Amino acid sequence: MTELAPLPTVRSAERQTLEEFLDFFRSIFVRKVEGIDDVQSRVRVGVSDLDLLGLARHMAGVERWWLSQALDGSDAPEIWINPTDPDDGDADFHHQPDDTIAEAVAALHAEIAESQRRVAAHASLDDVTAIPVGPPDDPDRFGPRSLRWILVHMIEEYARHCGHADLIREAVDGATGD
Amino acid sequence: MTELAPDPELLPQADESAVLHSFLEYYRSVFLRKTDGLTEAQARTTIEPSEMTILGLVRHMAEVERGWFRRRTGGDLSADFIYCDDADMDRDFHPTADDTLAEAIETLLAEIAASMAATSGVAPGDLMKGVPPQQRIPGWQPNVRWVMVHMIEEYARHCGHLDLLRERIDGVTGD
Repeated sequence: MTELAPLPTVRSAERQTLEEFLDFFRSIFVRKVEGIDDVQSRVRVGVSDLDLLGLARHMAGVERWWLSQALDGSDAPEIWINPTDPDDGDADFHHQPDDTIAEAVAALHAEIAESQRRVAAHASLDDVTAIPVGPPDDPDRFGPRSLRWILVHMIEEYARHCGHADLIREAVDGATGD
Repeated sequence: MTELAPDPELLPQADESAVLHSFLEYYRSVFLRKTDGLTEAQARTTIEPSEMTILGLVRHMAEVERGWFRRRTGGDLSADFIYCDDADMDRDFHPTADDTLAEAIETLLAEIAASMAATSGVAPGDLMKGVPPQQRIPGWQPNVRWVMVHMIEEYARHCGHLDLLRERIDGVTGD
């Protein structure tokens, strides 16, 4: 079981604060998707089609997109391909019957380690992505974004999906909290 | 219907304060939109076995806004709990049959306005001004940067809860 990361320190400089909050939420999220079997990883709640397997795969892809492909211009390929539809942009959520939670969690751990290595190599939060990001047809939103922007975005992205994982995991086995 | 705040994608290379305020404002607006237009019965829907409801979450965020911004950041220790008390520190999550969503949203909007006043002109590196006397760790005094990032993830995580609750109620998804 992954240990909960330390609570973010309360009087630190900007970069340390953002990195600590991100690592804290990475650890909360990983704990929500660990320790379950492949059937449990496919449990849905309410009328939503989200499940823990899809969320774990999604966050591995989000790590690779923002911190390898966008930030550094890495040519690492997409992690998840839908075998029935190679152009499916939601292949992370559209898993197949033989996909496993073990594989998804291993991929997530690997992508987190890769992201941490890449962020550490950047001297400034003002560094911008190697490629323009956002909708190409919207000049107000399309362009390079700073590492600062990416880190805050990653914190809220993890936090929001932790909210989804909270309700799903509680339905799976009653586990709640961080 | 609450309008969505300008999204942070419009500030791709801004400074720390602008980025933090942008993400927080955006999430406040997402949260409020998720709670718009519901009946009292809908506001009490759960996704079992969780007991969370939209009514409880709105009351909770009003309490959280007051605690972190008006009280601690701004230093107004006279601002007491809104819903909670010593007998039940989770009373925000425990509304009675007479409590209403309309009252909770009105309260949250007032607290957001008070929060914005409390953070106006405050730099991220400034320390919060109010240290409540009953705080568990004596002298524990985060900077405003920590409070802002915490509030962004607090809103985001509860928006995740609202996502699933609202979708169950009427199928509405997204921001």
